[in-house]
Amino acid sequence: MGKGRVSNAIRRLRFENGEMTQKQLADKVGVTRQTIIAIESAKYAPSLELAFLIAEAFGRPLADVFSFEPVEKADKP
Amino acid sequence: MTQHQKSAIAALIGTILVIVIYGAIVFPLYAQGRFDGPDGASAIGVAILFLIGGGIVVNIVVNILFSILHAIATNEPKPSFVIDERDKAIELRGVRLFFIVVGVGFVLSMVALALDQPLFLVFNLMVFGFSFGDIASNVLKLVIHRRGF
Repeated sequence: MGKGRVSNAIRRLRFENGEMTQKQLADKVGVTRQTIIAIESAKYAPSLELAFLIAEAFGRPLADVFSFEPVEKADKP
Repeated sequence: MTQHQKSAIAALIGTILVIVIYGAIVFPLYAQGRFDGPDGASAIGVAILFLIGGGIVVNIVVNILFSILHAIATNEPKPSFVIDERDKAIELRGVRLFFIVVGVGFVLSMVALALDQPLFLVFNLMVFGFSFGDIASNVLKLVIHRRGF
């Protein structure tokens, strides 16, 4: 681990889905609101299963929600 | 606050309470010489068995009371009991620290045994190793929850 960073578009997608709250998303995918906060702020990288569930909650493919940036790329300003 | 955080706080309070009560009962008895002599080892065994039994009861009671008081204080209409993958990952880190501290306690107790120290000290180093391990693991869980993971 630590070779890159998983970033996401959850905040934007929640906005586009009628200002879905973090709690609503958390309930939809079966996790706590704190986990959604941690994922959204890129402090926690979800499991593949949870990532698919989140993508499914927005009706989008996984790549639209999550993206992976290698460390070299992520560190550049 | 998640269910996992609530459990960690309740366990922290419970463990501190149990170890303080245990210390307050056992150390005066040690000063009276109740753990010396041929019956000393069995008296230590009885004290530790009471600690284990009492510890379970106190932790259950503290957990229930904390949940009730938290629900009243926060006025949470529907408290969530969800424990998700992040909670489990944090739990794993706590367990790892717990075993490290317990291991240190065990090694210290073996050093005490090798140095011909009283059995009371040997067993209590193990007891405090378990207690400090539990305290350290719960503090770590709360820190990770707050800091992010």
